[in-house]
Amino acid sequence: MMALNGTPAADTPLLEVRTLSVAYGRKAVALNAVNLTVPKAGVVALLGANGAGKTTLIRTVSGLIRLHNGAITGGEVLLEGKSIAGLSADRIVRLGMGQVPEGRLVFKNLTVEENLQVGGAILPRATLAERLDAVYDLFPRLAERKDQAAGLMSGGEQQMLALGRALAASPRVLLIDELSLGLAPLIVGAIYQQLKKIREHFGTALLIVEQNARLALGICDYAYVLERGEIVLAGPAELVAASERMHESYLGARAERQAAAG
Amino acid sequence: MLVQFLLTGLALGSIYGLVALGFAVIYKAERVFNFAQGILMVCGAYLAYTATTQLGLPFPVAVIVIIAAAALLGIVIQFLFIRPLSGQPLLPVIMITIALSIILKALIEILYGVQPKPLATSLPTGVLILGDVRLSQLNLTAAVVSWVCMGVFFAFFRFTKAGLLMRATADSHEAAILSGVNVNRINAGAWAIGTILAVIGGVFLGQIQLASTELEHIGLLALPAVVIGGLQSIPGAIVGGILVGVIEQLASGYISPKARDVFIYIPLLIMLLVRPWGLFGNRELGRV
Repeated sequence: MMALNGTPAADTPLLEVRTLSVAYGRKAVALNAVNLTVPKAGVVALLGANGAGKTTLIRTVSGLIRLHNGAITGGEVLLEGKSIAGLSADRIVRLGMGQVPEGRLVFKNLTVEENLQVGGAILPRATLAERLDAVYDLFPRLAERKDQAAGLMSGGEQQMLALGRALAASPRVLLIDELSLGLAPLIVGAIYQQLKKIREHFGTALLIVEQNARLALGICDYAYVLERGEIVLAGPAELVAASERMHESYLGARAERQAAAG
Repeated sequence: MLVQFLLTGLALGSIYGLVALGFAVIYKAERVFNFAQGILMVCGAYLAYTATTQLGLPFPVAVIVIIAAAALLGIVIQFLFIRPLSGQPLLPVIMITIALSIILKALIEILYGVQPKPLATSLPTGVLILGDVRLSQLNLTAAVVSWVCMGVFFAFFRFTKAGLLMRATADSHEAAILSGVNVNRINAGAWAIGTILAVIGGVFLGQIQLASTELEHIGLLALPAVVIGGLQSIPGAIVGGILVGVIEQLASGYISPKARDVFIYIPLLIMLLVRPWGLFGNRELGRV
């Protein structure tokens, strides 16, 4: 790994992934000795092309890896210093790790309000109402659509709802998987503005997994770049954005040519 | 005669609706097509026999014991047989429920013998005569209790937190897990509810007829009921159950008791061919 200057805060980090290796089945190695740290209230981006292992990493951290027939073959995952590797996904959520899965997985037949109530179901009843108000403050659009079935909303609104639902549980860290996938750029831009506010309003740390490097580098403090299951680059956002490797593969001329061709 | 058939059909259909509702709750929660629903209903009749005749419990106590035993039975089945298969394709799970129904039936015959048992519950057994129509008080009670159960059930789903989490889990397993919901506990709850509803139906059918494993095929009328109503639909299960009850009475009253199954399963075939998602089902979700 090439480490650029400056590492995240030195005291116990909120989320720490240490020399984590993951494999699917017997041989296919999906992650190889990955290190990653999310400090308290920090915003960290995990970048990489399709198939680099981003989703595997987030599934491992969130406890869903076994559902997808993968297994941890080495290393550990620590939430506030305690190991969470091997715990069930719902348990990890209850320990304070919120999740916004890829593909805007909302409860389609439930109303917006009900979606948020399920999200906040782990909170005591007294604090839930207050928390939902705060979420509605952040996403006024959801307040307007309170009683609408989630499945009838637009893609962007569903993505907001998925964010709001995760926030309803008062998580300390939020995993956000491929937020921009399948959404119009204008809407993605608006939602990224909301992500900035999430940290300001709630002090929630964010781990943003994103294929669109430019977007994620615009709001994160620190970024990791994953290639073929290994972290190949890590550092503060400005340095990563300015690095030659990043420019070459993800931000620069070649990426634009690829985008134009695709 | 027609009014007589319709009313009796409505009363019996309410019981079928109740059993079908239990089936639909389990199906919605776990996508498990539960062929054991019929024998679970039979368990209700025998639980009533044990509680009232064998243990001699006062009826209100017996009701509580029966419901508690039903909930436990559902939870144990889910824990032992269904949970380990979670995530498996539909077929192995269906085979499990068929095996389960055969085992339960054999166990009942070993424990109670093959001879049908009369039930001695305190349910009213008189007959109400309204003009030309004779209405059995037992049927009437069965219908009323079924409707009350359905009402309680709707209130549970609409107004309680557990009900909300159940609806959420039925909607998307993965999203529920990612919201911190303990999906295993929710699914066990669905099995408890599904079994309780079947067992309540079984107590009434056991009292109307006799407690016997022969009742299983009546319990399995829940299948045409839910297919006609729509597998994914709770109101569909109830309406389907009532339709099956009414069709049954009309067919056996006007033609012959043997005609019953023909007239119940022909609509099932037509429904599967023409509208596989059922009367109330959702087109995109309801394909069988």
